[in-house]
Amino acid sequence: MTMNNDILLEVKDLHAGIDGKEILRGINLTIRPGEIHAIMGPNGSGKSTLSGVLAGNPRYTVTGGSATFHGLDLLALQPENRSHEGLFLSFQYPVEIPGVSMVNFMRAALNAKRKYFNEQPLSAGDFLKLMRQKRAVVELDNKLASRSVNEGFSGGEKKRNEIFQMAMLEPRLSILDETDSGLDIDALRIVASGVNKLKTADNAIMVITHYQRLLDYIRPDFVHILYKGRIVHTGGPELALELEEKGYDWIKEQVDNQ
Amino acid sequence: MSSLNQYLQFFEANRAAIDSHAPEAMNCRRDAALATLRRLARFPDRGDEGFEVVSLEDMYAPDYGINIARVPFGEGGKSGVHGCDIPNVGTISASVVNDSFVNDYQRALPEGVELMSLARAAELYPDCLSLSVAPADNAVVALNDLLLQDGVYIRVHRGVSLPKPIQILSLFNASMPLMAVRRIVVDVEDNASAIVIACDHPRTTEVDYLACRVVDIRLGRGASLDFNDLEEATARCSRSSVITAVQGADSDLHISSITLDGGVTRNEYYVSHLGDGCHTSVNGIVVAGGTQVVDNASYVVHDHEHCTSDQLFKYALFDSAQGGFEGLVNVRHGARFTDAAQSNRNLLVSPQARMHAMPQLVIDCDDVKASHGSATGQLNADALFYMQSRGIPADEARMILINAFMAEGMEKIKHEPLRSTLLMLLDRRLRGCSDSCAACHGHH
Ligand SMILES: Nc1ncnc2c1ncn2[C@@H]1O[C@H](COP(=O)(O)OP(=O)(O)OP(=O)(O)O)[C@@H](O)[C@H]1O
Ligand SMILES: [Mg+2]
Repeated sequence: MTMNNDILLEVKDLHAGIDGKEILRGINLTIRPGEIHAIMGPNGSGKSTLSGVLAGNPRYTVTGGSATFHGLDLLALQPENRSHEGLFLSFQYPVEIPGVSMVNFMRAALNAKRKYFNEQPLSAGDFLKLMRQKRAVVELDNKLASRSVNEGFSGGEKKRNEIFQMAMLEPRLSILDETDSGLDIDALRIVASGVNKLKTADNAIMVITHYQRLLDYIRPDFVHILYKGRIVHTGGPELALELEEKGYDWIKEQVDNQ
Repeated sequence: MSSLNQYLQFFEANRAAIDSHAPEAMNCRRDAALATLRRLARFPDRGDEGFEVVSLEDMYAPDYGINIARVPFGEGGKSGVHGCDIPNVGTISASVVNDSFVNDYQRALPEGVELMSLARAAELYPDCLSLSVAPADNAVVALNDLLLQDGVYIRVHRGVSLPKPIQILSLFNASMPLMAVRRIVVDVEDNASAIVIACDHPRTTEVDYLACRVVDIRLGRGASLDFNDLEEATARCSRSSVITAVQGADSDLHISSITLDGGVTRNEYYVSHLGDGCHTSVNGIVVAGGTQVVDNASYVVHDHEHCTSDQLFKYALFDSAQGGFEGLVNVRHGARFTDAAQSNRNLLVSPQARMHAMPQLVIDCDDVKASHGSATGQLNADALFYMQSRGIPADEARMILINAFMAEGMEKIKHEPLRSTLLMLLDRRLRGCSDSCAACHGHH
């Protein structure tokens, strides 16, 4: 059931920066359950910064504005609690963690979430069963699941592993930061169809990408153009096609001449 | 004035009493020790070569009691001694309470194994006290010789292989500040093999203790020894330890030293080879917090052919803990085909923690492979955030990362039941809920 009157994420006039340099300069964005939003924009425009700020990366400093996540003051929550509350970030550059196995990593993540909701930890059997099921969603090789987190994974394997984690955590809002980069043609199809399998009327996706081809699989309701730290243009799926054809110059000109 | 003086004065005033409670084989070594200490005139101090973070002058300065009259006190004795019975490790065990050997192992020893008080062994085998290959001017060894009255003697006879570990539990148990002079002698004869676990704990957390400990190891030809040394004490305990080992040809020595809690710790290791084909590994694992200071100095000398050595020291330092590592691999002329590696890696968990590392290689021979390195860093902030973003709370994420960092050292602990127990102790120590020796007291 779609409850389009509910707001899942509401970002208002969000300002944030890094090392004293302002990168986000007033972001406004509203996402409702069931929606898919694509964020596009030239390199360095602030797309990863936006996703990092929403996920709570301490590297960034929020200097103004607000973000409300199903009624909660998102920016006041620790990153782990943002995750428990249903926010998921698929990293543009997933981090390698030598010496920490995928199994232990996912078990710690899942059990922390269960604890947050006053539930008992999963039994070993149930946990492994869940791992198996969710691995199937993105056809993640069992060998990868038994290695250290992202260690020695290829670029594409890392991205596939991100969506596997998304499947495990069943988030309400997933931010996919260039999940398509590094995936070969077949992998793109498999991972995108994995994302679609996880899509319901109650959750939402914010997909950051440079290319239309991902949007052929994950079809957005809205396409936003981020430029110099602001959303300067919003349209429907056709906007992505237009960008593919014309590039960003026309947008840049419009904005820079204002 | 040096803090050494009080020990020299104490010795001169009490020599007769010391001698009367010790065998002649110990007593006859005291004059030489006295001469060495007089010549040294003081303990090594901070800033002396090889002493960057610990001052033995300071460590030995307080006025500790020394129980030379061998008055039994505390709750020693057979029933009172808690085994640090590391679960799943079936062991032959003996205890040292303060500085006295307590034989609490009731069953018969396996064939070809001797385990007894060092005072008794010194009567049976007087030369067991002269195994040390520490430098002649080592103040801790000289002080140990000067005041030694007892300790532990382990001998594994030629060709005997002991699959089960021998556990030596050294306990402090006194209501007054106390210094214990301890020595452990391990003699593994030709083609014999053994596993030893030495654990150091105080029974009381509210009293100051100082251990002056020497371990002398001798390996025969083709012998093998896995020596594990665990210190889990309190902030009020100090320890100066010297482990020396001399290895016969084709022998295999593996030392793992695990420092989980304590006040000020100085561990020294001196290893040398008597023949070709020896393997030596020295593995140090340190988790220190509060104002704890842990200093390891490891010296391996290669002067025979086809020998290998491998030293790995890993530290995780919390709060304002300080770590020190001085390592030396000396490949001498003629030690061809040596393969020596030395590595020190440290994690400063808090910004106040400090590490001082000085790995050194001295090579006087061609045809050798040698490597050394040291790296000190902080927790990877990106990894931490990645884990948090998946819902793992920051503290838990830190623990997982530190455990992963220490894993490299823990994997080197060869005896599996011991390794899994130590992993548990390590994890608990990391979680900061390790009050002293809770492991031992909790399981009885
Ligand atoms: N540590 C830093 N110090 C200063 N500037 C930084 C730092 N990290 C990022 N930036 C800058 O912030 C801006 C936004 O970067 P961000 O990664 O958000 O861009 P993006 O839109 O995701 O780009 P891309 O499409 O290349 O992934 C860039 O100009 C980048 O150089
Ligand atoms: Mg980016």
